[in-house]
Amino acid sequence: MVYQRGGAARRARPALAGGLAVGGGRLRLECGLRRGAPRAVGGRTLTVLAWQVGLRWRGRRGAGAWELTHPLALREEPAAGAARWRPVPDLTLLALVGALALLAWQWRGGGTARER
Amino acid sequence: MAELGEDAAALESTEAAGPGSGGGVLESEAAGAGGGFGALARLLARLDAASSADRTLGAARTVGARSVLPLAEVWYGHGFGLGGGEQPAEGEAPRGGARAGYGGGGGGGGRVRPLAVVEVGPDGARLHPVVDLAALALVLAPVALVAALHLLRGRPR
Repeated sequence: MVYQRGGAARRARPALAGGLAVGGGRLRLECGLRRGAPRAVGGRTLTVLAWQVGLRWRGRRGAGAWELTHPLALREEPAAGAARWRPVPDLTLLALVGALALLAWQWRGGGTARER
Repeated sequence: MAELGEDAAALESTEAAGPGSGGGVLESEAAGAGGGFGALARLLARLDAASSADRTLGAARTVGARSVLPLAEVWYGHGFGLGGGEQPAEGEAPRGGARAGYGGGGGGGGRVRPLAVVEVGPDGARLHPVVDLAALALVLAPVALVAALHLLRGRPR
């Protein structure tokens, strides 16, 4: 096993990323924060900070990959003025987690009611 | 886009030069199959290099003095494999009339889940969250069912 700081060197601008390679690089797990390329929109520059996790494997007769990129924050930099970071809300995920927490709470409550 | 092209080119050169990663086998077998798998490997390498933080921010659409951009979670997966049968030994009758077989296949998929819409105007950028009501309904329906069952069980007889 080899731990590599900034393991995905070919990827653009790893903000804080690491990689874990197993089996001489045949299986590689990458995880970390990545910053996208600045993009000029309407006189402002937008940059995305995203969390990325990826799994890649290469065998003698095949290869495969899986990757997930989730934006966490957006950096807005006006032509004149200070830059601002804005968190990217994932309301769907928050609602799903809340619903699952409610389900778990109900499940536990039902168990104690049956014991009584 | 030039950036992605550079990434893909770097990845391709890495694959071609990687003796320990099986790249040589893939290249040689691709050559034996008329270069089809080589092309597939290059296509998947381009897909691999294309997915990065840049992909989460979509193309800007300008309406009047304002521009809107989608911001999304992106995931993808792909894989391919190939294999071949061995040639029968000397004196052994070939089965099915074929002396050797060769084949392969691959597949992939991806998903883009919108999280927010970025609105850029003269007064700055604003984020408008996107809520996936269908996904919420799919999860909330069982929760409501469990809650109803819980209420029915708890009712005194």
